Amino acid sequence: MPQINLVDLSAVEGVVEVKDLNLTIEDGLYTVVLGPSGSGKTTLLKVIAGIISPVKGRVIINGVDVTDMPPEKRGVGFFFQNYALFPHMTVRDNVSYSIRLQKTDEDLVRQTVDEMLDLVGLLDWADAFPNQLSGGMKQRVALARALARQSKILLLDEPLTALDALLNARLRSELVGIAKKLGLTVVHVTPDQEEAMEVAENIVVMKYGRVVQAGKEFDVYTKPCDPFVAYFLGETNFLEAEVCGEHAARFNGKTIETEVRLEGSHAVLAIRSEKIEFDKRGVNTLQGRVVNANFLGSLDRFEVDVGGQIVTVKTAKHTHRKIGDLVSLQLPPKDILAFKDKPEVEM
Amino acid sequence: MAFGFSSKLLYGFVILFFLFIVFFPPVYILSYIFGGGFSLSSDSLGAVVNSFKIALTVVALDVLFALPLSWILARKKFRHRLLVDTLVDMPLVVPTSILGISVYMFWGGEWAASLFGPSVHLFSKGYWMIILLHVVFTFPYLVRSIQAGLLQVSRIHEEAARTLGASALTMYRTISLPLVKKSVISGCILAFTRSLSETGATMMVAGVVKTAPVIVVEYKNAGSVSDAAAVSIVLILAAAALLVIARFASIKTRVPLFHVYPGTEKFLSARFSGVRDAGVFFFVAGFILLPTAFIVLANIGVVNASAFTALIHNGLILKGVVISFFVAAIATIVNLVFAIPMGVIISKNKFRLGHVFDTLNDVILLVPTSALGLSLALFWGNFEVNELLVLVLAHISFSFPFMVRPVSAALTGVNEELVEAARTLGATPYKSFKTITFPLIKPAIIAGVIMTFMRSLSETGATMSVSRNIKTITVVLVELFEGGQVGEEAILACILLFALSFIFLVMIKRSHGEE
Repeated sequence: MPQINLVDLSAVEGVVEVKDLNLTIEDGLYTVVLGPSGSGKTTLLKVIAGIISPVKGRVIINGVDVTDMPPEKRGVGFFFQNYALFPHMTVRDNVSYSIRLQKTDEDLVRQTVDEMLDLVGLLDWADAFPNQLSGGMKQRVALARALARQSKILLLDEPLTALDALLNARLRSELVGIAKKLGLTVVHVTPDQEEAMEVAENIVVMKYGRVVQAGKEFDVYTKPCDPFVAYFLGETNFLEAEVCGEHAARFNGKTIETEVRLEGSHAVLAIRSEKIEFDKRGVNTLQGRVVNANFLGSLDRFEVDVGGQIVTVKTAKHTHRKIGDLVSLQLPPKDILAFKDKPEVEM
Repeated sequence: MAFGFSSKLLYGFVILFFLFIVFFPPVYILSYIFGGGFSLSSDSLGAVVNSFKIALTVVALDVLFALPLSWILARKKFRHRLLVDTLVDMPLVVPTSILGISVYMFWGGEWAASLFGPSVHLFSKGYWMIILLHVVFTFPYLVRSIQAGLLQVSRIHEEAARTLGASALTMYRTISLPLVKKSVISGCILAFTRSLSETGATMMVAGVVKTAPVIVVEYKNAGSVSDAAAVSIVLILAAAALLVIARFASIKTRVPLFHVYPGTEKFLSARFSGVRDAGVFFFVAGFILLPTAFIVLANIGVVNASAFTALIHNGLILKGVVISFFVAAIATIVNLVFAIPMGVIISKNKFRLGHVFDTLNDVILLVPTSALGLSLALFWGNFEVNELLVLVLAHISFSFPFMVRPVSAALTGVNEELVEAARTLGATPYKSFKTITFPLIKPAIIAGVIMTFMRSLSETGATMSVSRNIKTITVVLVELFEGGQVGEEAILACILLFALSFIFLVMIKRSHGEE
């Protein structure tokens, strides 16, 4: 099975830059590259596919250095964000494009295309042209076309972004299902952290053309190594505090105890919104006033003003707190992370 | 959207202007079909056949080299790309009679004889020299047209093809080429009809060979109007037929057999891109750029004080220049005023007449200018109109599409949402046009103004047909050349006009923001 190694990779596409990037994409896994727009995710994908040549560094697929190889020789399936379906060809011609470049046996071509279209549930639309299809159908044709390449590597450039929320959610699991069924190594690029969490086995978080953190989905979520990762993946509160002990800091006149060791005189304490609890006795309780309350269906989300700082709390236990209510919040010490600075956030 | 009374009045007036001043006079000659006695002499038939043979050969050569060149210009990044891009367009703006002299000087080869001895002989006036001339001024139409098409094709389709395993050449044949099919065909039509209709410069290099437009002028000068009309009608009908065929062809033609070539193309993609680039470079330099600029390169010595003095004292040339500029300026201003509302009618399909007027504009563009000139002379002859006025009206007529085309294309490209946004922010229709639409289409208007002006300045065929006594500079040049009297001052005039053309061309390029 193929593994992708990127070594000291730098590349430029328009204003987007990828800088000195080192990354290993593990074989057979579903890896999501997550980052805000302009972070270089798509550029990275295009470099792997050979659409963009890197300024420096190497691209190694399955042990073979493919840096100077044109895209048609790399044998990598690529799914384009806006599908890039050939407008002058039918669905069948689009999907069969890569097979017909290799095989001349029309029966085999037909059979493979039928298999692919069946896989994405569009067999009945084989003779339609792209402009006759809905967004979801185009997405499936683009997927079938990339799969028909019969490559073990599939690169997906924001495959779900152009779809409406409902379709997006439904197709997530289908994508993973197909990838697993065919035993593919997938690199899926998205700016949507919820989508990333749902499909990923491994997550790579990017910012400003660099990899901030890469690893198993669970590890990246629970042990972010950088405030940006904590900020971008899930919802996190950042509290600026004065360090007053190895495991204690003062915030808003209260002492907050932590399990992590604190260093220096100043720390930014980070805690996930869903880890904070209402009206629970114990250490680390803060008083505040509800300034915003949203019912989100499966959970409630509150914004609480604690001495001028807004702290967000998510809870699955529906409570009937209203705007203006006084509440106490408890921050479990084991869930508190500490960073030197607040995340840099682009507006 | 509903129309106010005043806007209806405006559009109505513009449509009347278009039909009676721009469109009807050039096709008036078709009424001669019904006048009886429509017949084509064997001389006429021979000339028409010559014209078609020449145009076909020319277009074939153009396509062969325009396909790779437009690809290189649209897709590759290299130093001096913009310079090459600009130079290739030179023949579009240089008056054809100057091109005629330049091409004759280059391919006539007196310079080669003086360099390598009198036995060295390139070409003499005749069939092949006409082809060499026509390739020069038709080639840019194809390159422009295909390049524009390629720039509109999203590169993402090409990238997709590559990731699916297509070599560069396979991708070009199966994706890029089918997607720019329309541009290739419309470029071919333009080149074909331009070749079919060019008069002034062709007369210079034709020798004893007769082409259809040349014979029209000869018949007209000899007073045999019915013979001239017959040839003109054939040319117009041929142009119209081509237009119709092309519209159908661009719908019907399909991607060729798919799976036969990939192996060969893979081999060619890998090995021969260098050969391709060298071949294209050789063709562009040797067959387009050098012949175009030869008049300047070989005669740069005449740019001196005595030649200037001679030029200033040459009443014939000076008067020709003044008349040319006067006529071109009037035609440009009148067309500017009418082309903007006409552009709106076409791009917004007002009164559902957009396509009709779009096609009618194409027809004018395709009517061979000597036929057009004859038609205008006959039409306005009915009204005993002053010759200068007829000349101006003729120029308004054939240059109108050059203004309308870029304007309507730019208007089509303006996002309607921007105008709607301006309206919701409180702008009146006039205000939103002035503050949103106009600034967005300004580059196209500038390009249209320059193209119209240059087209009027450089036209020969129609001008010769409508005016007997008033002579524009290009007509003067043709006559001087025919009489073997091209002196220093005439060459100097050519060089100055050439320089002016180049400046205008750079201005067009800048207005398109390619700088």
